Amino acid sequence: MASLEARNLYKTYESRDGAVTALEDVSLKVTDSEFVAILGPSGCGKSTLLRILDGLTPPDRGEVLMDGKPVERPTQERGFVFQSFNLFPWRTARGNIEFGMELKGVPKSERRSAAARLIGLVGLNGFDGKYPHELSGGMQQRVGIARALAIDPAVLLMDEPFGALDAQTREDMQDELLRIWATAKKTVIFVTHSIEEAIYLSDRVIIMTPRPGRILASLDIPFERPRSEAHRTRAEFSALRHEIYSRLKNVR
Amino acid sequence: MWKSRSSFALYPVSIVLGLLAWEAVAAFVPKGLLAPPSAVLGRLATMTADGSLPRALAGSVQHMIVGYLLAVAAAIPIGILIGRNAPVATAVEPVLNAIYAIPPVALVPFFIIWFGMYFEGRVALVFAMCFFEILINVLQGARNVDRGLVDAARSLEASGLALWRLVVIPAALPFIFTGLRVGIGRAVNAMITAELFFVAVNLGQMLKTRSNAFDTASAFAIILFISLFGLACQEGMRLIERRAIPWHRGSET
Ligand SMILES: Nc1ncnc2c1ncn2[C@@H]1O[C@H](COP(=O)(O)OP(=O)(O)O)[C@@H](O)[C@H]1O
Ligand SMILES: [Mg+2]
Repeated sequence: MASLEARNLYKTYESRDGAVTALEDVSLKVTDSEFVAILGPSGCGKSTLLRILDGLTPPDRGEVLMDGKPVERPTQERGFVFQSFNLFPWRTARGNIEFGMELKGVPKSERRSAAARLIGLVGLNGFDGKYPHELSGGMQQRVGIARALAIDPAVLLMDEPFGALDAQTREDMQDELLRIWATAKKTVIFVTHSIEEAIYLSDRVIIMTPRPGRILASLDIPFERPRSEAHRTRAEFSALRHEIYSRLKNVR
Repeated sequence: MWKSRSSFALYPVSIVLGLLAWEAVAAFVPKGLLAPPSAVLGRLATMTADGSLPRALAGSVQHMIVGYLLAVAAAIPIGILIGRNAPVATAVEPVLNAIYAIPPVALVPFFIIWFGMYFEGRVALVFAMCFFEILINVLQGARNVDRGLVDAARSLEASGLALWRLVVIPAALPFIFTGLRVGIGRAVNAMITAELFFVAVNLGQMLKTRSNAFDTASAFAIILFISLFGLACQEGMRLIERRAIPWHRGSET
């Protein structure tokens, strides 16, 4: 059972106009199969936090524990999905999805069948031989999600994965993600700056505030699953959105 | 699509117009100064058919190929190492730029001392003339590897050698191929320069003899032959590039 815990993380970047405190004393704990959204305005340290959770960036102080073991570098126990997709342009959709398995020396036939299954899961049947530049943004991110799932991680870290997509595609992808999550049963930490997206998707919303980047509050989202369009129009939904909105506003 | 097709159609038109203008001008000047294109093309045909141009080229390409391959073999690893290592780049780049500014022909006297007047000297000049062109392109490619791609690979647990092999090198390939293409053009240029500045042999010797005899038609035919060869080399590289990196958008056009 996978749990991910951050303890008292600090991170400061040196820039030309002085030091920027991206994270100050950030702690959080995410338990198995939970879908947690990390919400906050641009520049509040969400990406920094997510990168530290994966092991891509080291913290200045503090530690990350996965099932009690310290995280020191990225491993295949965690998958990462990027806002700008970051697909390898020289690999086809299939080749991108197989990347992590290749690194682990998974035999070709096994890779092929795993990739085929994932291509079906993310709804890309028939596009496995396409290069990234031949795919739309939404399709590219489907590949990005499949690539992260292909290493069968216990935790999926997603950094504003739908931020670069248009509004319609974005809502479609949210429903797709929930469907995939229900099938794959992963722990998901989903970074976003959209209040509505955070509420719609998650079991719990962690609110961050900027300068310095800190956790302000953690809110449970009481809606049952599966979620659908109807949830967005409920009174409780707008009440929650209002509450989060005013909390974020009060800090500024 | 339309634009490229119509400009493609303009290609032969502008060539024909240029040739006609040349023919007209040549009719009014002494034969030894400027040969008309009809005479040049005639000489090109006979000198190709009688085997003298192809034979000379077979000699010339030897130092060109050796010099070019040595330059490629050196420039790719050195360019990648410098491009991926910021402190080294900062230290080395001023020196590189300074050397780059020297016309390689100015080094010929030294090449003669170090490598002699024959094959090795010519190889050294070809190397010097294309090494930096290739190096600079490879260096840019290695430096401009998208950080996001490196992050993506690292998040999938790639590290060390795998990161170089599976991300850095493929990501730099479009720039590497540009370097190879620009470099081969320079190598053809250097091939003839070497034969003119060291002991004259092969195509360089033919060119020198014909010019000295005021046989402009033949001299132009040799120059035309060389430029067509250069064009063929670059188009060949383009073809290889298109096959090797079909995923690269820039290579589609
Ligand atoms: N590599 C870096 N170098 C310098 N400053 C950085 C770097 N990464 C992030 N920052 C700064 O740290 C702060 C938090 O950034 P980030 O974690 O990307 O926030 P978010 O993802 O919430 O927008 C910002 O002020 C940003 O400018
Ligand atoms: Mg961010």
